[in-house]
Amino acid sequence: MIFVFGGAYNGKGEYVKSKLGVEKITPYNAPYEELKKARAVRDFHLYARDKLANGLDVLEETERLIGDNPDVIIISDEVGCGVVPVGAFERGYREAVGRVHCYLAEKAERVIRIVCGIENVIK
Amino acid sequence: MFVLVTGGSASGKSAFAENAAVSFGGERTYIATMKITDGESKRRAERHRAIRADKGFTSVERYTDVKNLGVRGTVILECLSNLLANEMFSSEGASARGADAADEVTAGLKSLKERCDNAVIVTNEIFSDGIEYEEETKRYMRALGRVNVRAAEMADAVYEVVCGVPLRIKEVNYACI
Repeated sequence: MIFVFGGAYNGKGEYVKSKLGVEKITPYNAPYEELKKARAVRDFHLYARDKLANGLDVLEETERLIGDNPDVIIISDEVGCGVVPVGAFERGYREAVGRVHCYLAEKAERVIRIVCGIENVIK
Repeated sequence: MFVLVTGGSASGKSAFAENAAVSFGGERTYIATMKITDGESKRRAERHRAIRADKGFTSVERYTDVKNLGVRGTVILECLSNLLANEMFSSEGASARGADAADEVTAGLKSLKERCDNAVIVTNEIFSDGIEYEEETKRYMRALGRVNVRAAEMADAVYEVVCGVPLRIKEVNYACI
């Protein structure tokens, strides 16, 4: 598994296509059967948000996906660099994304942080 | 040398950009893009201008249309987020006449790269707070993301400044400081 993350609109998808040679990036809300076979999944932060909104355990759901698709490239937005929100759901969302990013970074054979379209392999 | 400097607000980007520009030597111009709207911003701008004058910078204010700005030597442009907002939302900007604001800013950067010996371009990392903004703001963020990626492609060196520490994220055989 490769984990690609960074701020929104930083060119992560373009990077995965041009530098990692992925033709089709699967959106996070595709049917699970597609996610299981996907080369790359984008907007993973929203996958986490979705699971959370449906009362599911984000880490468990992510473990299941990585278990079913161990070579997938996960693309996700950094969402934790703002003021901690007052609303409980928004706060839980950032917490869940932060934790799942740590999990993904630990599991990944490569962790790539994208800034202004440029990759930095941080693991 | 064309250098892009990014980072969060108050992370020390300006000081790093100034030091980098000073290290290049030659005639130095600071291009300010922020419109002065009140007494507080005026005082702040005047204080910064005095500091930069000590470092040998001439300051020019330019809110839009950087591509037709006749500068040479070493320049600092601060910052892309202001410049893009001016091109998108002000009456003199590119969007007001139906042109693409991101393309306009990119054309300005190309022009600086061609005209100047050295350009240090400061931008802003505004993309990591997880907030779902309204569509107009998202449109601006998408455009700034595009400008940043293009500027980074053009750049010989890209730095991300974190807590005042410059992290080199792209460099071609050169150390600024």
